[in-house]
Amino acid sequence: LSFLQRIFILCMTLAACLPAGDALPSARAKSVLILFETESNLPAAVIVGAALREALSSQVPSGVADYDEFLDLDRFPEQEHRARMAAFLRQKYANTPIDVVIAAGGRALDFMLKYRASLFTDASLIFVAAGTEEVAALHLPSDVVGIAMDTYLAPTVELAMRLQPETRRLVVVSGAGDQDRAWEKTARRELRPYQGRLHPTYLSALPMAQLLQEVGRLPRDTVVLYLTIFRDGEGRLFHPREAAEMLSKSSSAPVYGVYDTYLESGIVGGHMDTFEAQGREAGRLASRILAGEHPTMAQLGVASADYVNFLQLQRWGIDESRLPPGTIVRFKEPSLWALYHRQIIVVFGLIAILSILVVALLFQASRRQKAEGELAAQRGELAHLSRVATLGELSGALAHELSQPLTAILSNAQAALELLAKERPDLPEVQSIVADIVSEDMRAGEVIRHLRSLFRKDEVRREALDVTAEIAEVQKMLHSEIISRNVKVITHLSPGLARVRGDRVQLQQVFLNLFMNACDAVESNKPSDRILTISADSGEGGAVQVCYTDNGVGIPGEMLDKVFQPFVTTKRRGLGLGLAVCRSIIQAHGGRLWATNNGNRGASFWIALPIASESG
Amino acid sequence: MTTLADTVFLVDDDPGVTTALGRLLRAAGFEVRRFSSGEEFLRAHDGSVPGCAVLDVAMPDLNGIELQRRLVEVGCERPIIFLTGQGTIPMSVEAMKAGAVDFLTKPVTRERLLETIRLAIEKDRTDRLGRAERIKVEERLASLSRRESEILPLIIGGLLNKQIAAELGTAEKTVKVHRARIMGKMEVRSVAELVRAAMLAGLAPARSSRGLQSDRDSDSPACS
Repeated sequence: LSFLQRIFILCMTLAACLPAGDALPSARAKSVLILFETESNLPAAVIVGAALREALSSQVPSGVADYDEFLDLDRFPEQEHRARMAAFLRQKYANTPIDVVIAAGGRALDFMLKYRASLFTDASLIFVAAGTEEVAALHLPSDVVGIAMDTYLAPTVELAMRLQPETRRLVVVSGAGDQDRAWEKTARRELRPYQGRLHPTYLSALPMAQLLQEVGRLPRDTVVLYLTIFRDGEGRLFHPREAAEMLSKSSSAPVYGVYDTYLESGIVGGHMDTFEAQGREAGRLASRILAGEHPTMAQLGVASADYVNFLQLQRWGIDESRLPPGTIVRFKEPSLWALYHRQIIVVFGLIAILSILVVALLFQASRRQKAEGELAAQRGELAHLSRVATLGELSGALAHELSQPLTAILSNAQAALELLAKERPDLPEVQSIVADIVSEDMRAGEVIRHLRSLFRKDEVRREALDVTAEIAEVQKMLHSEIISRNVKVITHLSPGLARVRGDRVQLQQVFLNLFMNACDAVESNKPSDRILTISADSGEGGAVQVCYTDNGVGIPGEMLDKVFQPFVTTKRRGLGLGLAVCRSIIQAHGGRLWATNNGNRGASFWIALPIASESG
Repeated sequence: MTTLADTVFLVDDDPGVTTALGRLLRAAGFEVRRFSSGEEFLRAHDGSVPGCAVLDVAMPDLNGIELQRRLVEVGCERPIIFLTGQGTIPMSVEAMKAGAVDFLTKPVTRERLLETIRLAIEKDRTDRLGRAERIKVEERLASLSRRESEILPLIIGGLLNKQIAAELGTAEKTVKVHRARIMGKMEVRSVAELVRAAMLAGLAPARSSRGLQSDRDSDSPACS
């Protein structure tokens, strides 16, 4: 509202000034009338008008009053219409002085030249978007200058051939309107040089439906050159841009065009100048004339270029690298980098920082994993050393364990030899001797196998184990040790205990160690009073609970937990590693190992091991 | 060298070992008796059967060394051979001091075992012969009168009849009669033979009037 009010006030001011004659001629705002030969909705007209006004307002800061008029000659081509329009304008602008009339289009220029004597007589006349040919045909007076629009049919065909080297045919499409026919005529003339190579075919003034059918059947090696269709063969009216869109959609071959307005309607491209550039140049020209300059035609013009629609290049599979240098590519999404490079830098910077963090964390995790692996390996190493040390203590007993079957084997074999040396050998006896040799040998082999499994430094395994069977196997190996230590062993191994998941060798090592400790604990007892009890039962929470009880010296209260620390020992010999290793083994099995003193005498060592899951 | 009566007593808690050794020894012509523990051996042992014992050192409850001690305690002089799978030097020294014939390490070869067993059986035989002789002498000694028992040590101590008579405050003639009776009861023809018999029975010669001295504890009965 405030803008209208200001206009009103301006008008009032002007009206007030007028009676004063030429006293303040410059006080009136300059005014420009753009006279379009087309209707107001034609894209070309809209673009030219907008560009022109923008240029004008930027060139004349004080402001220019501008007016638009549309002759609509495509729909009303009759001479009577022009006369009526001239009369109408004369009346309409009787009290509105116009400084510059800009004729947009060749026919508008023609109209103005015709009626100039009676219409806008005081105004300067310039033109825009008028075909070069039309302008030439009009024999302009020297004071009329403007921005001519060249046709670039040959360069457009050159562009097409460059983009599609396989092109064999050229089809030129145009409508039935005046303009359309003018274009066709120009094309037939300008494209004559391609007669031999591309055999141009002209699809002119066809009904739209038929035209679309025709272009839908074209072979791929064809180039369609679309001029304009204001009106089809059946007299239907079109905006040329709208027709371009229909054509591009239906065509089985790439379509090239003459106006930049077609670019967004689906043509591949063409060599052209643009309506926007035309409008801009016209705006500048108008402002110069308003400023009192008199430019000549030679100083005016718009640069042309190759234009392509990037999306259409993709649609037809045309390699972008074929584009001539300087080609203006439309509808190519500007790269994200161009649009958002700052944000991208920030985002990528953040990503980089995060990545570095992630890598660092992964590195750390892998280092930790490695360290854990090393720790586990060292634990395994220590367990092995401790096991070997224990077995070393047992070497005498183990030698005895082996020497028994070896003695039996040797004696049996020598007895057999003796028997066989006789004249009538007792063969059934020899047979039973040899059978005994076999079984004694297997017994020795079993001892060796078991020993080797304990001596070996294997990777830790996890298998479902029956704890009672493992205890029994250990006790079997300890047979001679039990005898030489003169201890009485009582075992309470509950049958049918749930299995635990564990490493056979390591668990046996623990059982072995606890047993040997118990033996040491009762060493100072009288031989008849050295009693060890081994029990295995199901404990709390389904765990399997094993207990080694002795009636020995017991453990001083403050040492009950310390005995599991490395290098802590209550014995005179030994490193004090056995129990520490045992506890680490049991903990690695997810279990617990602890010690208590018995109510009366001696100590008990308890193991609780979780049972193997159902699936295991 | 060996006779049917020569028996080897095998004691080992491992039946595989005693079976095998038994076969070997039987094939070599010995009588064999097997025991699976020291207690069993002690219960069933017949000391009158000639032969030797082969003991495993490491046995539950009663081990070989203790078994040997128990045998010595009850005065059984059966020669003992030890077999061990894990013998230590102190253990073998102890065993040898207690009178073991040998201390063999398992596994033992036939030759070594048989050689040792023969040695032990030889020792057993000698021991038994010595023991039989001694029993005879002791029986004869027992037949002596009190006075004769007093005079005997003095005779073998080399005292003359006159000296003995002075020592005992009796007539030389009386001593002469006693001496003849002693020689007769002891079935010897010379003082030298009498001395040997007395030594065998553990009697020491007396040289002075302070009485008889015994340097040997001979009151333990022979195992029977």
